[in-house]
Amino acid sequence: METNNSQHINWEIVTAILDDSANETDREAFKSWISDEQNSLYYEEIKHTWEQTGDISYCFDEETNGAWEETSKRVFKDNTFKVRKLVFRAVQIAALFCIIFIASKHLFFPDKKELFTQNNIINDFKMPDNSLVSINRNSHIAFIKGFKGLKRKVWLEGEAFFDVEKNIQKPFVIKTNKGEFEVLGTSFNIMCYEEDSELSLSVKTGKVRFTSPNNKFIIVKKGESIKYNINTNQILKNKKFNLNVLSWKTKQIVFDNMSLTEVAQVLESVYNVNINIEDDHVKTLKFSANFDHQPLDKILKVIALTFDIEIEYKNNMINFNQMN
Amino acid sequence: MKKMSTEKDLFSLINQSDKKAFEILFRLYFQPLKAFALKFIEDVDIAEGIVQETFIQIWEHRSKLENMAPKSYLYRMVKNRSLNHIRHQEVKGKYTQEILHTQNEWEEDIPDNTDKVSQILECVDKLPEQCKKIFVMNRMHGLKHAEIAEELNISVKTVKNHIGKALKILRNELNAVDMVIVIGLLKLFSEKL
Repeated sequence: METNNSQHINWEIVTAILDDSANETDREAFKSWISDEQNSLYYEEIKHTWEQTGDISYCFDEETNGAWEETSKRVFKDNTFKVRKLVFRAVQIAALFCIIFIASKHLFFPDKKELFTQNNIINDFKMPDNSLVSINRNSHIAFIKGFKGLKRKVWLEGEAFFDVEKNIQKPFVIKTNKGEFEVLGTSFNIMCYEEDSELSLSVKTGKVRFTSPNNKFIIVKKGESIKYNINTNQILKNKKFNLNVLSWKTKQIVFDNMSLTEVAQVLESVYNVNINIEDDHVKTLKFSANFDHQPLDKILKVIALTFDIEIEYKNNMINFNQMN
Repeated sequence: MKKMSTEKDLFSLINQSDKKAFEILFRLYFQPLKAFALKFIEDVDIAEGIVQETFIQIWEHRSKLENMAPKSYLYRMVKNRSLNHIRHQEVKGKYTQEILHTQNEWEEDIPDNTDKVSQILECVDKLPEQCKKIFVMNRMHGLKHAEIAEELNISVKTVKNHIGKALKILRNELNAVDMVIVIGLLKLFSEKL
């Protein structure tokens, strides 16, 4: 690097310094270059510009980009090129027929791998790209063998926890009957059972984009969760990551001053049982405890002892009864 | 060299159907307005919808836009739409308190460097194609050099060179005069000591 001429600066080194990714050799070269006053001043200006553009990154983030794409489409309707449009339309339709033909060929020769669960859980199944998926009861996933194609596509019905291998060039897309999820590399839980009208997504690490069937979308970040209702078309976002969302897989349950009604809900989903609490007072009792890989009856015993209530097993149902 | 527009000029440019100016206005205010709408409305989708509709209104009635600072106009529109939406819901009573509270505090919450930001946006927009793409991916999307190189199928060296080029152009356009003056003064000071 020439020391006196700020016009011929080695940009690789400067950007590495700004980015904090410079190695020893770079730093040495930079030090000697910046010892010159002119260069030092110049560097300060460049650094200032660097910092200014950092401040405005919200203008180009994914959410804004997506929203702009939508808005500009609605707003900039081009009325002037009608003739060109007709010709383009004809070409489009022809192309569409080709695509349908090719797609149907694939449909008749599926090379799919499918996994089903009934009353069992599949833990950490390894997918062709080394991503891991854990599948809860009564669920079903399918994907093209080897993840052939431009995207890594997975069809999901039920509940699964994904730990996705990062690959920027090949997005990981999960399709459900209530919407689509796209990720680059991240870990998250999706609950989307066919009989429910709601789905939920909880993101443990990374970012996931959810798109509803009518193209409303939201980006959910680490520690956040959303619920989507297909009937009301409403997306509700929660900045809390429910501790027990993954209990079905990890077998770790945390009760933090939770009402017995909520405790019952968690136990129902983790152990696949039905719990009934008659007494209104019992419903509101607050419980705090942590359980790691414990059988259900042990947890129930702890609850019974803590509150002096009786656990009754009757007709496939567990009842919490007040002791008299 | 065409004079760079500041935030104040955006409305008059949009009045003349300048699409780029509209895009800049949108990128500048989308996130802050959405956060603002969320103070009134819980539902993320509705908040986003309100902000989008506000912008669409602005473009469709652009011939009536006056030359003024967009900030208070935009915030007022979003607030009115949000309140209208709430009025149509059943839970009116619950929100009245929140509305009264929010009316006074929203003035302070808005970031006040939007003028500078709109200048920067315009400059970034004028960068040469590949240069702009790489710069936006690095600075705005937070992708590392290696990731950009992989995505665009070019060498890391090329990525760094493009970023350097972008910085150089931006630095010239944005004229970091204030910074230089400060440094110059400091230098003067240290010499005298």
